[in-house]
Amino acid sequence: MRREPPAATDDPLLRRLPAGARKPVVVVIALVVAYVPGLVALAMILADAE
Amino acid sequence: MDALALVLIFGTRGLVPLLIFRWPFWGGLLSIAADGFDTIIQDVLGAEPLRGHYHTADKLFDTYYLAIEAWVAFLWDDQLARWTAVVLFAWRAAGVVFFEFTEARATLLVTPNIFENFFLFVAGLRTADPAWRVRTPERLLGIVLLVGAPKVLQEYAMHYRAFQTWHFVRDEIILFWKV
Repeated sequence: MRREPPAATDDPLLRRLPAGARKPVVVVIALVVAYVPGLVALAMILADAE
Repeated sequence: MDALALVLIFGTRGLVPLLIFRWPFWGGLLSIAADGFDTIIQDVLGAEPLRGHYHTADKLFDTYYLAIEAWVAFLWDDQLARWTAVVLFAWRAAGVVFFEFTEARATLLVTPNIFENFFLFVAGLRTADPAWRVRTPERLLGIVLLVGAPKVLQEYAMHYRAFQTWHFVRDEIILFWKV
């Protein structure tokens, strides 16, 4: 299946990136924001279990 | 110091979420930063202006910025993403209200704030590519599981076990590197 090219963004920060890099960048940011607190939580649980 | 801390906390947590209306993704990220900022500012200034009411104020500010995100999500033209966001927000909000009345910690574990991670994920993709849509229930389920799993861990540690996250990060991670 042919991939649709990304639509133009009006976001001033993301516009500076190449079109193909915009979605990977926001996905990485969103996952870092989701997983860093999760990993800190895991570290607290493990530290408490010791 | 208490007055300065109070102004900084109310100024930051009151104004930053308004950015979500214009820049949903970046405003959402900054609102999370502002959420962490209030604990740090109290620690740095050695002030406790909210004393026994900190958790209630924190929950109110959290609900305030999450409600703005929910409103923005409600305006999405992507039906799957819109209604998932609304249901996830309503589920969390009901949990917070129930918790405030009962103080049963398990409530927040059962009603984890998956909405926030889901909103950021979708808002980020919609910002990067305005034509992006969730499109299929399978993809929706994948996104909810992907962003929901770490949130459940976080709820368990922060709200069910009541670990002090900032103190742990400061003492075990930041200060660890200074040793």
